[in-house]
Amino acid sequence: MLEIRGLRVVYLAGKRRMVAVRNVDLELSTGSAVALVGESGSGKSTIALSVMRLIRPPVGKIEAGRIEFAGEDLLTFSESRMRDVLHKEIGYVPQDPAAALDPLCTIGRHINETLSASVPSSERRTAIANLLESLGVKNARSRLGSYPHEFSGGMQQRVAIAIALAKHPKLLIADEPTTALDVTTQLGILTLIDRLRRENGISLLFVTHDFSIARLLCQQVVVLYAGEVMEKGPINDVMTNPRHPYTKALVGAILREPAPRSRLLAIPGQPPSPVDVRVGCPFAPRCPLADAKCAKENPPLENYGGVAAACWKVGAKATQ
Amino acid sequence: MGAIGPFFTPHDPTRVDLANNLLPPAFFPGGVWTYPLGTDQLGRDMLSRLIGGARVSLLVALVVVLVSGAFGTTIAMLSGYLGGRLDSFLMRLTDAALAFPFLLVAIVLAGIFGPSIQIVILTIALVGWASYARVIRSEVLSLKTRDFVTMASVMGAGPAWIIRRHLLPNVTGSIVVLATLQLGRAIVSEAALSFLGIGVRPPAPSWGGMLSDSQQYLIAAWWLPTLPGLALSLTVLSSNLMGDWLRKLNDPTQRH
Amino acid sequence: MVRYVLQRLLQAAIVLVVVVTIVFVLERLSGSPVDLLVSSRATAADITAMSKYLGLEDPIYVQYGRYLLRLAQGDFGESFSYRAPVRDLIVNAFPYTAALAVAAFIFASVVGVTLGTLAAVRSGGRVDAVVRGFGFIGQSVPSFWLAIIFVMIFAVKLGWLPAFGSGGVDHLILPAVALGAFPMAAISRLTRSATLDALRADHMLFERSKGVSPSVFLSHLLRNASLPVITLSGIQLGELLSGTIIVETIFAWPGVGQLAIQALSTRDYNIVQAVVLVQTATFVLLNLLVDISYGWLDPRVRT
Ligand SMILES: Nc1ncnc2c1ncn2[C@@H]1O[C@H](COP(=O)(O)OP(=O)(O)O)[C@@H](O)[C@H]1O
Ligand code: SF4
Ligand SMILES: [Mg+2]
Repeated sequence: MLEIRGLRVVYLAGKRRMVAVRNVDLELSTGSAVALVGESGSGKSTIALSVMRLIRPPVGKIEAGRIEFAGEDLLTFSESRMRDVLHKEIGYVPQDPAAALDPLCTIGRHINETLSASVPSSERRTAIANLLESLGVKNARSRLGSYPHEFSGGMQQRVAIAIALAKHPKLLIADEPTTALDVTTQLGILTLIDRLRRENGISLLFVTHDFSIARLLCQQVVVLYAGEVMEKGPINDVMTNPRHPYTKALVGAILREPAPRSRLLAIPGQPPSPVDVRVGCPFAPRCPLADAKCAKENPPLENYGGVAAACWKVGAKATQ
Repeated sequence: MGAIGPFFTPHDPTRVDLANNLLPPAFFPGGVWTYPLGTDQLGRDMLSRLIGGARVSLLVALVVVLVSGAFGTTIAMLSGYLGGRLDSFLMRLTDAALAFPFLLVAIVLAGIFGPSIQIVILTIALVGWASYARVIRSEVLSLKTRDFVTMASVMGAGPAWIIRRHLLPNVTGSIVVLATLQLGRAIVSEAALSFLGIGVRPPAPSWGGMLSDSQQYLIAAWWLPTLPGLALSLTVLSSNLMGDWLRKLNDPTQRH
Repeated sequence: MVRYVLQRLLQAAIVLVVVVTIVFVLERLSGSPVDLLVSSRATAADITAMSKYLGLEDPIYVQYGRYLLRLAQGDFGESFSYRAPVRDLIVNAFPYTAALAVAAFIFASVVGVTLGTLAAVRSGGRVDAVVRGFGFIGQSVPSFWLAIIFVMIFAVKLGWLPAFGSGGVDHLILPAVALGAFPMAAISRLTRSATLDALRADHMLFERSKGVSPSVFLSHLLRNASLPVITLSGIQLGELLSGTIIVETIFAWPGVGQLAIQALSTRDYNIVQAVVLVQTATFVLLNLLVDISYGWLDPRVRT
């Protein structure tokens, strides 16, 4: 379904370049769900946006790699063909629906823009209203003329989901869809996304900083740190037996603190700066196991019993 | 008036030399080097008049900027720091001042008191303070919530102290930017009033007055309308460019 | 929305009342109107009689009330130089001023928005650099100089367009362009930055993720970028209106501005006063309309 190979993405801030994502591989099979997990700033959103080719100059650039979607490399598509894919096959649920929905555009028009052109105009209103109702928006028909700011955060997110669903997508990309919502509505949105994925056979690329949420929705996990993949594999296996020290810390954080919100990480230190050339393991400055080799050589992603990890010391114990 | 600045004029800007009137600038056929930029309809030296006009323009603009800057900043401090009813009253007042048709007020005042530099300064300043009040107030509002200000206030510092020691130093950047941008606008306003005959009184030289006089000589003497307008536009352009540059310089530090 | 409109209406009324009051006070400060009306040989008794006749003996607030009442009826008094009611003079001249302001405004907004959008879409390129340079120069060249230079080049030297007076559309071109140059520059600069801001907004990224057609994308972009531009246009339209005074004088355009400036030299204060009040009222009304249309365009303000 989706296969990313050697992805490298840079942001262009004036004359400076910063590499936000480097050499990322990721695979998502049809009908399954993969979680992208990592601290804030680790490059999760960048990967999600890259799949939709939304990182473009002057903001940034996809510098290298392939993004195969249904067997074809999206990066080779023409603009209009890419638009077509976005219009019909890839749905996107944003992190902050309040910012993502054009404030000057009614809910009805928003959804109408992604509803298939084959729905005749006499039936569009009904189709849109029914879609919203099925997602838990009450009195949807009478609210099609409302503007996004007249909806609560949870309802705005349901509208965003409706926009995605109106496409009948094969792939759904959800970027921390509940981070901006209040706690009471988070679970509702998560179960909704999970239900829709199962019922419609949609593949899901799910971005979160929270392992416990990831486990709720996904079978596979990709752990990111400073734009690189640290660990990758079946989520239950990774969580019960993390190979990488960074994953250990992330998983440890939820064990200590059951309902983490944004800053779940209790690992001291800062991620390395996103300069062009990087030497050694990116996690070395904060890693309790780091030694001289870690600082010099970047560990490759290797298979350790069904789970891949990029670390020289898989299996070793922290001495402190 | 003549007291300001190191301005030096080659001739007396009001000296009439009818024998040599409407001479083109020296580097054009018929021009002479005694009058490098030519002479006007009365044979007065263009260069000297342009310099004299610059003196008036800058004087008016500087006084306007000082007066409206000081007044506008005071209003902004009171409004932003003290807040409440006073704030909403002062801000309505600011809205009103911004909606004030300045040229019309100037016409009324000139109609009643006759044309004079004081009236020019007064009317331009009457409208000019409002942009300071607006911009600085919004900065004061955000500064007010910052730690060092709340700390000072918790530790018992009075409003006057806080305004002087904590707020004022933090808004000087914006004041300078606003002042630079206002300088250009004030110069245009002065020229407009003098052009309409309700500003600087002839025969004292002013760019607006020179432009007004030039209208009868568009066929005979292109330099009469061209030179004062050029001087005016270039002065305003440099003030605008400077203001824009300062604003960019000021921005990253001002915004968070 | 109703609340919002009422609020703006109240604000507009306050500005109007303030201007009216200032004009009233200034008029009283400028000396007794009796001096203008009676001959220099008038006796003290004549003056008292005249004062009584004009109602100047009444308390000031009664006079003020009467003044307001008169204005409300559109009565601006007589013009002694034209020997006609001021209202008639204004009614004749105002359409000219309106035509000039509207023509200048159309020029400014059409050209300004087009240039600004082009510059934003080609941001960083050569078109952008030219438009930005243009914007800077346009905001630095005073309209009255531009007007004179236009007359010199296009009317006197080339003879393409009439130098002054009113008549067909050709009479309107030079004054409208001279008057519209500054707002054109201001609008092009703001359109550029507003479009760039909108382009960077989260919701435009989201719109792209929907895979909508370029025309739909553009309509979202322009709608969002238009909000600040509309606010500025309102302000510019107001400034255009007072700018007409000076441009009318240069082109001998028979609008209220020229009327006021001529009245100033004949000391015909009733005219000056009436022009000031009419211009202010129009200015305030325009701003009100802009604010309301803004509320109509931006649903967040509406509720
Ligand atoms: N528009 C942008 N311009 C410049 N840098 C950006 C931009 N968006 C993100 N970045 C940088 O790229 C890195 C990865 O960001 P992001 O993908 O948003 O991380 P995440 O989604 O994991 O929090 C961060 O260092 C962030 O600062
Ligand atoms: S490679 Fe070294 S520094 Fe990197 S995670 Fe493994 S032990 Fe830590
Ligand atoms: Mg993110």
